[in-house]
Amino acid sequence: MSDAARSPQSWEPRDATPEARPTSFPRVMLQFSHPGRCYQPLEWLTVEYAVSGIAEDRTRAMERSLLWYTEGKGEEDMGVHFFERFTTQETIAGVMPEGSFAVQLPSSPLSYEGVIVKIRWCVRLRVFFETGRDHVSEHVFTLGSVPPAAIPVRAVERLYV
Amino acid sequence: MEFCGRGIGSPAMRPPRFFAKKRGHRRTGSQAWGTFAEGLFYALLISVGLVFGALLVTGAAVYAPAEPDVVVLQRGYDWWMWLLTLLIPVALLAFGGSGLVRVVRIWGKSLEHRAAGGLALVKGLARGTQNPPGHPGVPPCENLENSPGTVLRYRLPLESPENWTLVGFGLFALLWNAVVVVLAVGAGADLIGGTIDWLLLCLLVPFVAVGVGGVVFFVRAVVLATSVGPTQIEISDHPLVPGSSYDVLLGQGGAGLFRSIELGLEIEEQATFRQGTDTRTQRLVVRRERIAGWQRVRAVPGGRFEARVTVTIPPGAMHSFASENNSVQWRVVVRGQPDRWPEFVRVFPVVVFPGSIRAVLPEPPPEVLEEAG
Amino acid sequence: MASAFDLCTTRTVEPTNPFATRYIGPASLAPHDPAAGRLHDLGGLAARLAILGGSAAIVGAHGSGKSTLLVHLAGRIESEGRPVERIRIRGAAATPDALRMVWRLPRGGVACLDSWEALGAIGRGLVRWTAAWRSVALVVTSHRPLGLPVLVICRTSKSLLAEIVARLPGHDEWYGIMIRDEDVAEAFRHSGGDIRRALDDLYDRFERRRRLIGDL
Repeated sequence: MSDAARSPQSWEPRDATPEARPTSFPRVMLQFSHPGRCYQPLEWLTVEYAVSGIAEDRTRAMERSLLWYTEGKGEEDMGVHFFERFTTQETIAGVMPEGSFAVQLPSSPLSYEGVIVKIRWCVRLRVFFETGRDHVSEHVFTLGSVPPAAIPVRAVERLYV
Repeated sequence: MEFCGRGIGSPAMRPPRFFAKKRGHRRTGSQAWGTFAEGLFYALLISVGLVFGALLVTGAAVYAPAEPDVVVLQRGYDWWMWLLTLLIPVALLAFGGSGLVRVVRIWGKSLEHRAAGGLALVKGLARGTQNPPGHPGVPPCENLENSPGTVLRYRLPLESPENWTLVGFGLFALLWNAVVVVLAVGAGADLIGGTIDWLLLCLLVPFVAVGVGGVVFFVRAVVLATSVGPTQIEISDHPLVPGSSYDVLLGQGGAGLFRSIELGLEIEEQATFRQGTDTRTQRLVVRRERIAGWQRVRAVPGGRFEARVTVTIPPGAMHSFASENNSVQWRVVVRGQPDRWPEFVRVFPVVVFPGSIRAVLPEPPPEVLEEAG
Repeated sequence: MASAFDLCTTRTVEPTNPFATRYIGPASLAPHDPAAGRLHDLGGLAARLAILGGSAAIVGAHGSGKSTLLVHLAGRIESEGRPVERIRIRGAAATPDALRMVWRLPRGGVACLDSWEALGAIGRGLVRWTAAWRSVALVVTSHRPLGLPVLVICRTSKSLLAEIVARLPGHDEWYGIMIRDEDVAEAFRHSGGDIRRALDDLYDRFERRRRLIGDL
């Protein structure tokens, strides 16, 4: 799989102890251009966002990405469709605390509600602080309109008999 | 080094941060130190490989084993000796080089950043062998399309667990009985010499029993695989698209009567979970559709049973998907019930692409934003 | 046009199944100590680790929370300013990776190895020798101590499973409807005390019931 990567470790709560938590408590508001956050393949997705709760001088970099990931009983895989990184104070000022971007969506993989494999699309905003910590904000949307997979009848019977 | 993507901003150089800002007496660890040290490690490997290789090539490391005090200036290696001696420095260079490239690529990058970088790198190198162009996440289908059919366009390859069972039983029987033969030869030599090693003989009995069992299972698997006869599936087009119909030709060889043969279409989800010592792969068929079925089928003597049917991929169905640990697979499945043999299942994978995409004109983003504001 | 926008203010998503790997991975779960009926005292474990000489093993059966504890303990040690690296061992072939990890840590660093026994005797010997040479501490998970002092023995219980379930995302919305007390008890019994397998079982139950309720 060319564009797949392993589960994002940074998504996991690394700040296990209260002492390790950053002093900033970012709050991200993000608006999708479509009601219900449902998009079709090759359609343009536009988002607007606002980040609050971050002191400007503490921000070292910002990343905006659009990606899919798997969810279910297996290890998480992911593939990035769109990625931007801003590292200078001038460029960060252009995308923080408010910003927007538009991306044309790919034709696949479509969002899928399987039984043991699920595919989800999301917009991720990641803010890096001077302390070396980062904050991730993730916002899910639907690509395509694949109906949920049906669970095998025998499996349901096994549970309820 | 960091960069700004898509031409936004300018590249910025920043010294590596080995430890984050101090918080009182405490300081937070950083990935930078580990990555830097790893880079040094790989650089060291490359250096050792270069030095070692240079010594070999220049002949400085060559000496005569019989006379270690004499330096041999004339190298007398055969070509295979060259290959062997160069193996170590080449391996060191390859290992160190690939490691160093990896370190440079992941330096100071988030997971999305790495994945995006990998995407760009691999796109150029492996287009055509990975995802079909324009269809990320969809498995490649070249291997399913490299065999032309006799009647229809493609003959689908068989992916049957029967073959692996056969190979597994065969390997086990071979290796186990090799050990048995070694033990038996030892015991036989003792007997000829007039001594009886009772311990060896006792050990030999269960070994022979397991060896015979292995051979029996292997022969049974061979008979099962060959007596039923080959199953072939041909299809009029590939890859498949939801909402479209395709001709499918089923060919079933073998002598004798089949109580039933059934042709179906399935979607199987597969998820692999790895945690510590625990690695599990779970498979689940989430959709199973019967395409056609035949009762009391008898193959033409010297020929085979053939049937041609039409298969429609349901509109709106999920497409094939494959990533490192997860997949959604479509397959054509043939289930047969021979008269005198156990039931067999033969699986033919197919790839289903996403359905016809509704034409959506690209919207100029600025206008959308103005409207939104 | 602005009214057509769908507002999303939260960091994450509505989990369709809270027992998915994303929510039950070692770093997502809190390290519970069923004997004490609370979370593991990571500070106390870090102090005990120092008393044991820096290297020790977290011991326990399959699915007893060893990896979860290792992840959180590694975080705790890291927050105290010591360089820490983690690796998940999947077989003897991982020996070069483990050796590289130990090698690249500075003196005083801590190498955390999940599934220590999977390295094999030779691999373990090499890693221990390299770690001693480099003055790097080893914290490992395994089913047996394998020559290292035991830091903690992980055990499971039905109440531990219930506690883990109670901390999963959206618990108040789905508990009692999708998953009930008897499901937790059955999952624990069927898994033979393996929490990982029990959570796997609960995933299936949640999925089936969700679809059944959806169909009704």
